[in-house]
Amino acid sequence: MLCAPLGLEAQRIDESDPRAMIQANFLYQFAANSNWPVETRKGKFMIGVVGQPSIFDYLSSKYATKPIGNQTIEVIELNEVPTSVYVHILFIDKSRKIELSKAIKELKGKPTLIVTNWEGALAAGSQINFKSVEGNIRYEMNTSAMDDRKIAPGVKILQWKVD
Amino acid sequence: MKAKAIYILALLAMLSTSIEAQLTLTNNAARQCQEKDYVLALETIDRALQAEDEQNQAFTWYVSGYIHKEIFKEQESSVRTSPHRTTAVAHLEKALILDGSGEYSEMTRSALKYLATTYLNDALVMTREIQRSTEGQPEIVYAEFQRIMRIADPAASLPTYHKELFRKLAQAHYFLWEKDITQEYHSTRSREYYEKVLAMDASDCEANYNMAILLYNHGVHKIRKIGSSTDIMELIAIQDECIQLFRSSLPFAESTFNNCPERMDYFKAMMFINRALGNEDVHDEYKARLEKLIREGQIKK
Repeated sequence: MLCAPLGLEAQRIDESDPRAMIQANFLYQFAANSNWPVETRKGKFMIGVVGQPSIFDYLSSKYATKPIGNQTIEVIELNEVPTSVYVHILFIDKSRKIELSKAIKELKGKPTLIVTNWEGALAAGSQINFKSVEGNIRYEMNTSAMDDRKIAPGVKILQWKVD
Repeated sequence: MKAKAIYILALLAMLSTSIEAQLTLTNNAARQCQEKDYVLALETIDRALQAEDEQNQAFTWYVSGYIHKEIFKEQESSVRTSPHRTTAVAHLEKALILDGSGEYSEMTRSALKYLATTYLNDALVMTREIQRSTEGQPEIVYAEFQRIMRIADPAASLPTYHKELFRKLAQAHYFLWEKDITQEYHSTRSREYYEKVLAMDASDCEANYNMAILLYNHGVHKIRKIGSSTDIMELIAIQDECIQLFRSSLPFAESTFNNCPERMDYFKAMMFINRALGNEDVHDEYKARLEKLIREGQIKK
């Protein structure tokens, strides 16, 4: 009965990873809403990502060159914990858990905020750890470990941390 | 073509009967129409409709409707506001009213059915062209299809056509929303139309899948809008809202996956929605199953 050509292009699912986007957005919030030691407030504001290409891609496309104080963000994708480059924030994905112990060792005493995303990572030495709360991404914090690294989280970050 | 030949023969048969009834002008108009001399046929039938002894005859109105229908087909089939189509419908309806004995009913209904179909096609094509200001047009045209169809074929089952129209409108609003995701009005309208389709047929594969995609993509787009000017509190609120959208998309994706023939798109919907909800094990499970089916050649990449 129908004679007209009626084919519309099919609806397609957006294949980008919304959880990676959310984590990338949180990383930016941690950068923007923390008080960083004076000696780190020069050059670029460096964010290193180990093991999660989607977070790196999203951070780079959305936040690279955005200002943090008078610094601009630079995002670098890393295969392992950096020893020769200073990063303000180091994100280690659960697919590269092994890097956490290296990071703790290599970055001891340095003002680098280590952020992870698996259960037990906070106890293992990261300072902020993403966790899933009823499907939502939230974060737990070890504020005394942040103090040790002279990074002071802002009120906004503290306000939304979970236990 | 075959159907047309049958109706031309039927028209000629009627013509010979009506010659006895002395419907001279009507018979002449029918012959002229047969010879495709539409200008003359129209002029003659207009005179017949004025003639006292012919204007109350069902056959006269049928021939007039038929001539207008033929002119519409030949000259105005792409004109949605075709006056000949409108007149054809009106005159065929009048023929049915006057045809107390039902002598011409079958032919008249058949012509009406054809015209009804042209309204349906127009309505469906129009769904692809809608804008906010013209969004109601397809339903107006569709209403005309329904009205005529109920006269032409009272036993016809119309829900199939309702479903098709709602599905096309849902898709059209979806694509309008995708073009400009700030226009949430269109995503809402799309959702409403898919709900209508699913209320009529809860197992409709396309509607279930598209509803899942609509809700899921809506959530992803909301997250994509987050930027450096978004406050952390706002970020959390947006995320909560998106998780709700992801949750509501899951049952539709599950229904499609469980009840419809296997397709890569259905696997992807299950994978990505579960990943967005933090169910990574479930995501990995569907991913592994999909990869296996691709390897075995059961699903094409």
